[in-house]
Amino acid sequence: MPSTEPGRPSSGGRSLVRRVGLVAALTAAGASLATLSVAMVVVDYRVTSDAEDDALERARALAAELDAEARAQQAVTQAQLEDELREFSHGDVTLAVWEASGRLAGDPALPSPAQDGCEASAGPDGAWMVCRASSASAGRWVLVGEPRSQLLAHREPLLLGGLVALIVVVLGGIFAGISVGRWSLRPLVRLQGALTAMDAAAPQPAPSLPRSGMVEIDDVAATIDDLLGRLRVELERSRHFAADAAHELRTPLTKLRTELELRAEEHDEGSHEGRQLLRSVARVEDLGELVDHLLVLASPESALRGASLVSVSALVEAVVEDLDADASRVRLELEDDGAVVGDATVLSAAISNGLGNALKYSKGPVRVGVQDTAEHVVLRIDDEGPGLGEEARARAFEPFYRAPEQRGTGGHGIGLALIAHVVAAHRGDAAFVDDGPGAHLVVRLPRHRGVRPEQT
Amino acid sequence: MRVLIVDDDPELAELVSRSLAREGHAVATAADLESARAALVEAFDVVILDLGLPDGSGLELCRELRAAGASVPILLLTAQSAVGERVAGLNAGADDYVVKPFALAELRARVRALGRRRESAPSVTYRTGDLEIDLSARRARRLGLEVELTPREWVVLECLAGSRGRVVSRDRLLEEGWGESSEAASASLEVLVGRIRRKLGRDAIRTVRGQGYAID
Repeated sequence: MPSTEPGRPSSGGRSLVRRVGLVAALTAAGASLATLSVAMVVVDYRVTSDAEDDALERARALAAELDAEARAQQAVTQAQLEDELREFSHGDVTLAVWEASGRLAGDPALPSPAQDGCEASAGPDGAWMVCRASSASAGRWVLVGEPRSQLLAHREPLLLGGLVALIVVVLGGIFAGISVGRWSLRPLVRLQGALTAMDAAAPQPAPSLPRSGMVEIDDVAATIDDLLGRLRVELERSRHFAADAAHELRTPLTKLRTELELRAEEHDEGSHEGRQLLRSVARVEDLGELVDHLLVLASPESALRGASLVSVSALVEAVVEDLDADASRVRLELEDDGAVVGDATVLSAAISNGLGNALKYSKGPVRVGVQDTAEHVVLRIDDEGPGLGEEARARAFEPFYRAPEQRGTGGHGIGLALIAHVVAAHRGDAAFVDDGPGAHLVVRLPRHRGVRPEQT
Repeated sequence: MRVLIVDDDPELAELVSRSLAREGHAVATAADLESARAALVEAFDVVILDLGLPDGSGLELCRELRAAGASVPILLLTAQSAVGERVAGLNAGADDYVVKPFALAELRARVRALGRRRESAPSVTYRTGDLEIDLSARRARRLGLEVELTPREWVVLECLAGSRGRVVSRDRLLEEGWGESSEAASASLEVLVGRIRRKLGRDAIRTVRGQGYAID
């Protein structure tokens, strides 16, 4: 089972937490952008109307003054008029005084609207906000205006503040979004943790997954529980079938073998009949072994683990002893006892398969080594046969896999799968390594730490 | 030797009895627990017992016999190679087992060995260092973990443990374990002792040069 650390997405996948965080952040950003726009419009309006009020007030005040002077029949010189205008100007606000014939004094850039009041008006160099107030007695009118660009510059600090607020809101949105995502996905993460911790080979009875109290998550958990339950039943059934089939096959095989052996005894060993019978016995023996191996393959890992103290080297020696004719081709390099905890019978079957495989494909000597390392007992089987290609090395341990070049050479194609299954049950690993000509099987099993390699 | 075969498969019982009769044993058969109990009123040298019988498990009969103090050697025929089954059989008081489909030669050798052992069955439990050996139950533990030994390894170990502290000659070990003292058997004995040492530790068996082996 590919185990993934709970709460962390496996590499390459998209993260739901990140997506929820992103959506929350974008929503927050959008909302604050909209708020900011509305605020800008409002501010714009307020700034303009404030400026208009101020300008109109100034214009009216000056117009009133001009009115008073006209009524008092005071003659106003150009210079005096300019002085008065300066008195009333303020910041970027400029003024001008006009009469029907044209401009009398003040800023020449100010456009002159046709009526009293305020309006936006285009001047020779840009848009203006201009307010006009007339002095009826003097027959003149006063203009007070400000370039719109200057007017809008007033809102700059506000815009800046708004932007800072926007950034803060977006960052906060991302953080809050991720937190909310994490928080809302916590039951899912817990569910994943429980699933990861589950032993596929020996699942607990249902309901095996924790319930979070969240309807949506609990529905998923219940569905998974249900599925696991049905799988468990199916798995049990196929295991039982395999075990029953193997047991059922043993008795007829025993009878067949005994019968053949008894008949063989009645014949001279050298006779044609006798040799044939002995060959048949050997075939029945192979069948018995195949049944054994299928039974091992059909067993769950937990049933193969065992808890005996086993010496891998002793197993290798016993396997080689049973080889008969081929034993002379085996070179033993048993440096250590290779103490592991496990099941001697199935480990022995695995070693026997590995060695049998090497002897089958290689006509030369086969070296078998056992060595202790800090963590492992390493079993190595090296032959001088054709070896395995890259694809075959990767797929060799699949049940019934036969490398293209090995098809038609006999065998059942389950020997290496059995090794992989047995070794996995013992929490070890098996692989063919690329190490020069020939095939090189390396099996690593966790070393039993209680027994140190002893010196002879 | 008188041998009782308890097996519900008449063909198999017949085949096995034929092969043992050929070796000169007197063979009787029983098809279920009830007839086996009836037959065991008489004395037998070896009982060959199938585990799955129509009226119960062979383990039941095993326990009954041992509870009644019968010391007749019992050889189990098991269809399962799983450890649990073998250990359960030995715990119930069986002396040895063969897994189906067995080789005839192996079955005969086991029957012979069991018949011989009857005369000198040691019943010792001893403990040295991290080792714990129960000869009567044929169980060995090292560092608190079960260690599996083959029947022949047990024969050699029993023989050595039976005369603990004294040297047992190679000839006697060969006679007990192989029934012969050929060169091949002699080489096998050395390998076998080496294997017991791998399983139980270097110091489990001491070599006495030119004489034999000893357990201290």
